Amino acid sequence: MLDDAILIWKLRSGSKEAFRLIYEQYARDLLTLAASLLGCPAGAEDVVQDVFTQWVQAPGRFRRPGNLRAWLSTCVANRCRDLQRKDHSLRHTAVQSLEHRVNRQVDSPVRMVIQDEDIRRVSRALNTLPYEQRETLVLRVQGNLTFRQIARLQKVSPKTSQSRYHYGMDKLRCLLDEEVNA
Amino acid sequence: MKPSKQSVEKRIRGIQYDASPETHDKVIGSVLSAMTSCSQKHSGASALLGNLIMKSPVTKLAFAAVLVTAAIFGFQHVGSSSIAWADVVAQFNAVPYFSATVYIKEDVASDPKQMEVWMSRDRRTRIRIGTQVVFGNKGHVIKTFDFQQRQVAAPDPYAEQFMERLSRVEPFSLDAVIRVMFQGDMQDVTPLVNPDAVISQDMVVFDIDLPGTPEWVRIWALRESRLPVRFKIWDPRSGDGTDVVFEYANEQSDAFFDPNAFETQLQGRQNRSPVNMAYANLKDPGGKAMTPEDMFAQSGYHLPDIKQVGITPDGAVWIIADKGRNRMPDGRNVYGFSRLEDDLDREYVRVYASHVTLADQSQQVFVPAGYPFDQRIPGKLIVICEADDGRVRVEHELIGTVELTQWQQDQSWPDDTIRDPENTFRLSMAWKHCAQKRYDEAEKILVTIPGTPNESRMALERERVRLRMLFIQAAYAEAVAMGDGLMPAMKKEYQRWKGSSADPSLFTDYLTALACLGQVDRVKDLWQEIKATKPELSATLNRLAREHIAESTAYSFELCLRTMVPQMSQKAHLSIEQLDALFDIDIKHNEAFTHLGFWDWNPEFDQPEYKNWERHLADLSEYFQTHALPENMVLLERDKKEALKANQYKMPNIASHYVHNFDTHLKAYLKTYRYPESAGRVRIEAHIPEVILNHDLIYKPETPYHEMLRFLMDHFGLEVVEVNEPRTVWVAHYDGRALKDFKQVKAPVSPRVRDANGQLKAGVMSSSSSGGWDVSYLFQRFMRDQNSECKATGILIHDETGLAKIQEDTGMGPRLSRECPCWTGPDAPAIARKWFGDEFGITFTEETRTVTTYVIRDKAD
Repeated sequence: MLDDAILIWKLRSGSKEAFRLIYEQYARDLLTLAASLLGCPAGAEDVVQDVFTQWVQAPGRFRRPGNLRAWLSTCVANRCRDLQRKDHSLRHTAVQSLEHRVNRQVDSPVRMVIQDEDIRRVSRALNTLPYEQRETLVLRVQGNLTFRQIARLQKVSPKTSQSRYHYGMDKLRCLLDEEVNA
Repeated sequence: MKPSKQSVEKRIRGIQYDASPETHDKVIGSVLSAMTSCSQKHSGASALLGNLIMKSPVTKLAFAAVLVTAAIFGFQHVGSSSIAWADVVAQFNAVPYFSATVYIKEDVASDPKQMEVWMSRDRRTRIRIGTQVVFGNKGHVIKTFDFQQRQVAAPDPYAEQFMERLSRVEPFSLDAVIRVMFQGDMQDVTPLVNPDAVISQDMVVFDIDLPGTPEWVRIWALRESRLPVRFKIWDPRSGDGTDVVFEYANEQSDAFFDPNAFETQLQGRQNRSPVNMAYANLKDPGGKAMTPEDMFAQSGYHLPDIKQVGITPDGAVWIIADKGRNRMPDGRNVYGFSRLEDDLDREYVRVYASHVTLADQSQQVFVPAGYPFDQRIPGKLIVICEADDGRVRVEHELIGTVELTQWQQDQSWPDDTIRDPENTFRLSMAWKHCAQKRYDEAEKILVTIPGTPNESRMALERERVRLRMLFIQAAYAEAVAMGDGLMPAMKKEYQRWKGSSADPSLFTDYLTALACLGQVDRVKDLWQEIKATKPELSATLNRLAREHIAESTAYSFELCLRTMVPQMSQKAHLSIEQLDALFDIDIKHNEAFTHLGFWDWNPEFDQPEYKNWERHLADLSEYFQTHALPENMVLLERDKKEALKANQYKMPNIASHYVHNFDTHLKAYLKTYRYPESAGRVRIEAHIPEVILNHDLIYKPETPYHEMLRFLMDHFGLEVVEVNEPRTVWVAHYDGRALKDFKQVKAPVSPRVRDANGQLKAGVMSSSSSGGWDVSYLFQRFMRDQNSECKATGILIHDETGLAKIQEDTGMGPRLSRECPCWTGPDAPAIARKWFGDEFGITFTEETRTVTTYVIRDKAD
């Protein structure tokens, strides 16, 4: 696989193949990230499309080879937050449409059902968290961003990001515990 | 119960969303269409194109490249609006050669990337970027080398782009530069004098404003000589930019631009310094040294100037010499003298070496092998100075020797010189004897060191040597008992401020012995306790010093783990999982352990062949759930052929039997029957067919290997019989000469070449070992190679040299040679005779003797 730095350089020179390679490498993770943040797959696809479109129109915006994943994740998070602010209805979007399109990685039907159910529970619980906490959790766990990177994106201190993560995590653990007990 | 944080994280990670292929196609199509329309929109808008072009760091370098190139070939086509600029152009034309250093900064905060460019008037180019040297001609890359890896490499994208841009500037003129850079849209770019930027009369400054972008280019030139000395490309929006600094001189030699000349040097063994390679064949116009080789050419070697010499009552020879440092061509230094000899033919060991930088004074102590009990007084001392670059296979270059007949007998060294007390040399020798398993010799010294470990550091060290000796001899219970008693003193020593970081390696033998006794929990507790112990620090240390010491201590712990973890794996058979838990590490993903092997894992085991084997073992285990295990052995042929590499022999959940993988030619196994004692004496009858095995032998752990081979033979209808028959035997004798350092003994024929069939030629190196080969091994390899076709007709060697015993008795160690030659082919006997004679004083008398041959044949009915 070509190094990100070379792909970016080729993209800046107008290589469509370079874009395809970058897209193939990162699109799934970005879709997952956006879907987790928005709880809405259609919205996630739009967000990812917007992020890539804006980037190819001005590829010079990104100039740190090696951090492309983090940078794209940040773009996705920013775009999701914009959408969230504009459209409050997204905050309570049902997750059914997301659930039936999750990528199944198990072969046994029984395990598939169990996994689907588990994903549904986690997605539902995530969606009930305040957006900042959900964003922190998702960026940390799915986006593999550091607290410093998340803090920069959220324009807060790294400590605040860490607190959001811990509050979110505690709440999520309680919610998942309640579901099991219920 | 609430799920754990780790479990929740895992479940969040488990959420994987993917769009349908149609959606992906739609998104890609839409983005590509936006990309196309964007580029079409900008093709007529020079401003944005300029912006896009200049935004790329690579392009900035490329722009620097064409400016640089244009500089040397003259800006003849520049508009005539500025007379001063025309003068600069004229001066450029007179310059035969130049070099430039290009620094590119990707944004305001980034460190600049550096590229050095040398170019001749006929457009041969050499670039150094990172660890690469790139050779080009007329803008095309000819060859690229990585001087650190010492091999040909793919060119760095920056260098490649730089060259590519150069190739497009044809003919060389500013117009061509502009056309290349801006695709014909912006030709009206002329350097103009910027009077505001001029700060002195001897400098003139030109600016180029790039239309449609706030970026600009500035050129500084000397007013008197009219030569430009610096270019700068700058983006005021982000603070990124490129600086080009020029140097002018006479042209470098042809060899400097010749990739073949460079490659020859790269393959040479003498240029170990990367500086020598990066700047190979470069001559500084001012005559200054550019590389360690240049420095060496100026200084050469010299003998240190001996100021004082003495021998202590215990027999330690101390030497203090001025001008102690010798620089080697590879940039490293050697200090003082490397060896000492005397007229009593004693072997000396260097036990102390120090160098005072400012005074360039070397201080060294040598002790005879029998120290401190060999107190004979020599009549002459010979000190030897050698250039030792640390490579074991390379003979050290002799700088010179000094013979001494006068010294201060029974005197210790002056107070302000050698820092260690003489007792420490006793310990050094005890450690040395211990490492060479001469435990009696070590103990003989240790009993002379008085005191108790709690009161004396020397006494503690004495006990540590004893603990090590127990550990090496696998007397783990005794080692642990001793370690238990030493722990308070070791902890005290660990905590004591010694002027540097604390050393946890004090505890390694004790902890490893504990692990070998299965006391893993205790190891864990003690390790945690040691890590939690705060070493004492001097009150005068400032914050930076404390941070440095903390960092060094952390590194010491890492080094300690690098020693202890593999030992616990190999000796205590702790698994990777156990070791991870014990030391709170992740061995499989920790770079410190990537080069190490463990009994149950090494990085190579992640290869598919090993994974196949692990799965295969699991399959076999499952098979034996429903089938009886054999009473002794069973050979199972596999259903399918697949790539297997065996890294273990245990089947999961089965302890009573192991598995041996037989997966190559049957004869390859048979020829090892009873090796090494059967070397040269196995005959496989010619009619036995070639069979490639794909079998598992299930056997009991205590089964000897030759029994396994007999079982294999039996399976294929073969048997081994022992027959006595006359054979040509060389009886080996040793003439008693002093043997060379084994590291200096190499195979008789070099380079290492093969014949037309791909076989190694007689006399070339077939194997090498940093630990050296002993006489038995060298003879066995000769006999084995002589019998490579398994006819049992080659020459045998009967060892009557007595070398093994002589070496053991004298404590020289069993090693004779660093390399073992290949002895196949008709020329081998003659070469071998000469080599053994020249190198070791081993001669052979030829006899015919009756010896036992192992004949492998069809089983008799």
